[in-house]
Amino acid sequence: MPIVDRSSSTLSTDSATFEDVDSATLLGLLTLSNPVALSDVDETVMLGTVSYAGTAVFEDVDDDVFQGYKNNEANVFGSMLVEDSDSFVAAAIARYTGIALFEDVEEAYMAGVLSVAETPRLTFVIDVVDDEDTLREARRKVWLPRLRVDGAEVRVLRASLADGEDSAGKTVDVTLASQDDWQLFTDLASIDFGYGRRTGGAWDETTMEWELLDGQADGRRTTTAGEPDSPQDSVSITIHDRTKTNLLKTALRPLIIYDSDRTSVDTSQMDVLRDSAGRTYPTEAKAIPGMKLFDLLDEILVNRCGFADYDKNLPNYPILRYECQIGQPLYDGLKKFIGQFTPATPTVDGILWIKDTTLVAPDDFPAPREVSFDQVKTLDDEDSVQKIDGYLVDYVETDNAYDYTTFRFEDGSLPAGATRTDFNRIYIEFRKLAHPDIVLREALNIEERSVYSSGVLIEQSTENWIYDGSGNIASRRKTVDKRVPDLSLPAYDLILQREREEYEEYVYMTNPFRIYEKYIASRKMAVTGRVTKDTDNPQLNRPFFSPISSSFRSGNLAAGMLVITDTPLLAYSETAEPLRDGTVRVRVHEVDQVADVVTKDYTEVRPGAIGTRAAGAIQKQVLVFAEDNSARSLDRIEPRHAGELPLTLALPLFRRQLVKENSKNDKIRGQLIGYDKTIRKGMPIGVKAYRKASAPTSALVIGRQIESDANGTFMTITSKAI
Amino acid sequence: MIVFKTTAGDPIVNFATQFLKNQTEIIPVLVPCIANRSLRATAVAHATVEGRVQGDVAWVNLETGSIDTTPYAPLDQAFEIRVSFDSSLGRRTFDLEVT
Repeated sequence: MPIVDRSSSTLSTDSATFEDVDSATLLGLLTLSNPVALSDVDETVMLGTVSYAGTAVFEDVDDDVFQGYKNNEANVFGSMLVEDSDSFVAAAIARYTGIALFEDVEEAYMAGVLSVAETPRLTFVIDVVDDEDTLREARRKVWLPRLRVDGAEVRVLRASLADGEDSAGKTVDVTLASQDDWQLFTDLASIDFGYGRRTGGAWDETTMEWELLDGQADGRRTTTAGEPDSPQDSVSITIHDRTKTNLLKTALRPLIIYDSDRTSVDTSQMDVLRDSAGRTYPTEAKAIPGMKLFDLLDEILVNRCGFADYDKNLPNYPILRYECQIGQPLYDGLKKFIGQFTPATPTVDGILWIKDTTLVAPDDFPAPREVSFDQVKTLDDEDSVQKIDGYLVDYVETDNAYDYTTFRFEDGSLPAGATRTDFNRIYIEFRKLAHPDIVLREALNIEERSVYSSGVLIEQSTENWIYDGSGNIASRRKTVDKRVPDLSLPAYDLILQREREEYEEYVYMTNPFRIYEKYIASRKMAVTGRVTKDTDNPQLNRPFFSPISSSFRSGNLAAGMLVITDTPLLAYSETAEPLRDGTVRVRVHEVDQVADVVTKDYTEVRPGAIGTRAAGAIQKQVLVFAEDNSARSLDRIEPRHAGELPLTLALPLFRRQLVKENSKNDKIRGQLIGYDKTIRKGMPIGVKAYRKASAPTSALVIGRQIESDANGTFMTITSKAI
Repeated sequence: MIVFKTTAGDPIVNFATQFLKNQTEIIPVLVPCIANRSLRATAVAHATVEGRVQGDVAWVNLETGSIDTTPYAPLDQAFEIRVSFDSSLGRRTFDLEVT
């Protein structure tokens, strides 16, 4: 009885079990995700494409026929177990991913292509030697370059690996043995490069050292040379460590990362970059409140450049603002903040290290190891003695860059004819703990004035300026007492009375066109004071209000006139907006609140810069000497830049660098025979002078160059004495 | 390709090195385990090749016997291969297979 007869459709099910079926015919496409089990089926005909995973078990089936295929594609089977079958016919292309096992089958006929899964094999080639010396000799074999592209071995004639001082990643230049192999180096190819030894023609896998894993091919150089009958053509490929690729990642849009606690960035005011088709590339501004160096490194290196992790021995100091232009490497924008440390940036186990080279033996690094001279081929020791008197350090003081304040008092008197103005002023001095003798800037806090006319006090005023945390004026309050008649007294005595109070508020914004400048975005002033209300001489039936000093001076004071205090007199507001062309749009609005009349209302564009106070950052200089005395030598002073590094950190750093530069400036270049994988960039080593019994010089490896060909490998190490 | 791997996970098809005579060396390796197959070694003179699953106690002679990999299929399983050499010098070659 046929079980399934679907000649023109697809049967797709999880499993198919056929038992005690006399005849089963399966036609069409049969796709199962579980095994097919047929037991005691006398005759099975499977025509069409059969695909199943798992094991197909055929038991006690007398006649099995697998026939047909679809579109020249093989039937794909899992394992096939055929037992106790008298006749088994598989006429088709069959591919098994497991095993095909036939037991007690009297007759089996398999036509077509039958490919069974390969046998994994590991070949051991071991040389058994006599003693330790022979063993050492046998193991100290020539190191050869080895290149793998997407897992396949590619033979090379020569290879040169550079792990230099300036670059943070490795670059390998290989000359291919077979020129056609260049086609393997596609953009997506994953390239491994390393050094290993061969025994009996086979690579010694256990001592294989991979310098570069999953690198990228960067360039190809084809040279055609030699006579036609003796060609010396060659193809060279340049391969980059992907960490170098990470460090070359560029910003897709202009980027600003800033500390939102200390500054603000308004991207709506900024120029929007366009391309020739009119698409816009607005600036991306990211705020990190309380931003410090490590926050910036996390954002740039981990989030944007794609490093899994990084390690550093730098101080975590506050940073105001980071900028990166479109298409500029993100890492380059960091150099402003880490360059002062003359960092070495090796990659160790895939982690980028940024190390202050003035600090010796940072954490997690191997202890200095001695490079013995029998491995050394040549040793160059350059000792150039520099005598530098000191550094002239440029540094940038940003807002909030003061630690404490002190007060300075000033008083005086300004006579003018029969009048005299006495004043008392209190100034705030901003100072830093690093250099308490220097006043960074000072600001007027309180001023009290007393005006005398012919010895009589006629006016007293107190003006108070309040500053925000950045040292800018936040508000101003002034109270003025004038000597005017007191209408409540029977003799209308002239007494000092509160004439008016002024209150002014300032709002600042960052100039979007000049990064470190702030400007006064708005000034608002409210004046309240004492007014007289004249009901006896009304203006058009309305009582006439007038500030008391105006009434007094105009002779309009009269007995019985009402005097009202704390009346709004004036409201003034001025807003400024910087424009892209360097001009300023100013809007002024003033209201006489006594008469409720607008007295000023205009908008105008004024030429000239708007930065009323470049209060964002001030460039300053300080001298740093190795010894703290006033004796100066005639040696030169070199300039250095501290950037935004606070002086408390910059001064010790530059002192360390100065000492280092004056005492030890040796550059040691050594060429080692063979390859020593343990010598890495940034690692301290001890280099012993050839044939001298002196103690080894401590040095820091700053670069490696490895040249290798079919004859062996040489390693050139450049190191700086420390 | 189904291959053996070093304990670091790198594929390995050749293991070439030098050992001293009369020594026994233990080499860890990741074996690709396939159902219905066993780990075996080809015969080699002047050396004995034994193996065990990492963590087991008993060694199995892989030249004469085998270790069934079905319980660990289809994953890679860490095995230890113990090779013992006698006093004769020279080159020894043998294959480890999963067949």
